[in-house]
Amino acid sequence: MIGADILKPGSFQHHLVASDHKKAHTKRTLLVSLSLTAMVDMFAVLVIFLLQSFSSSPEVIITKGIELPEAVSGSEMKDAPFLSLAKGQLFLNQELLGSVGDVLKKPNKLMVRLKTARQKWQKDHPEKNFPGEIHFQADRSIPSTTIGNIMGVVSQAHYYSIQLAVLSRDSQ
Amino acid sequence: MANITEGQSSSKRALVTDVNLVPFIDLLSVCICFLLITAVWVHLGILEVKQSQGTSASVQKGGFEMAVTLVNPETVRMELRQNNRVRRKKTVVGKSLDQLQGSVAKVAQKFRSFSKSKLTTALLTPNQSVDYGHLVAIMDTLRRNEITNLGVVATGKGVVR
Repeated sequence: MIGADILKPGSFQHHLVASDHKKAHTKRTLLVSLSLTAMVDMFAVLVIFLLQSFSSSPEVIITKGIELPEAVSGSEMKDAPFLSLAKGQLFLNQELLGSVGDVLKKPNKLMVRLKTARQKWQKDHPEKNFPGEIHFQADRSIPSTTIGNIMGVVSQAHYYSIQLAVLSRDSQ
Repeated sequence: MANITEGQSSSKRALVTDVNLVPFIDLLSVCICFLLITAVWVHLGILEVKQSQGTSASVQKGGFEMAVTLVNPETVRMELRQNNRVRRKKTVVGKSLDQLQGSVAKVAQKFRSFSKSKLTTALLTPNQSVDYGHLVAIMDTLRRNEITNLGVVATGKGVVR
């Protein structure tokens, strides 16, 4: 059984000081003590922070040059292909489709890509019905009619549920 | 890691415990780096738009729907319809976006109470002068007032009919 006085803080220092005195001619010893209580507190705070900031929602890359609009009622992101509109260019899953004007004039290219993505999804999930979900990212300064027209094209490719990406903010 | 040293005194044996700080600081540094790299600084969300037949949100049969026209960045025209018949209409004006959102929220609540809370669908018609940020702000306001089934009208080029 270990005596309580052995576990008292500072006993190691006493030991080192005694040892130092014995070897008077040798180098000086640096004494550092650590409070275990503070360390456990700190670990607890770290664990809480990690748990709070953990998110199971899928990772979505915001295309460079897009300033997303803000919304309070935004819900959790889902895993879906994403269409983004940045600097007049339209991207599907980070792949350039062309300028917005060209895509709206000749939407066949976009329709074909969306159809391919839909078929791939159906192949990967043969037991489920296609949910028709697609993410859409666009800069907040783009005319809303452009967005409406792109939504029109997308919905014709059987993507009826368009998820507009927004920056979540707290209600005041 | 912990040093356990027995004292050299012949009469009293001392068990000394202490933690080596160097690996502990290393561990902390790794923790901080991990947190900085993996922390989510931007919280993304989604606003769902349900498009039906390319141009309109699905309307409940025999129910109510609201037509919201964004005339310009300061003006929104709202109509409550039941079976395509206009029952109520109101034009709201707000000098700032916050004012406009407040006015839209009040009218949406009035329309909801008129419809005995059956109104959950809104069809938004944007104008060229209204930017996407404004459109999303109005949609956000409607969603906060329990009008969650939203659609955006596509008018113009690019829509294959």
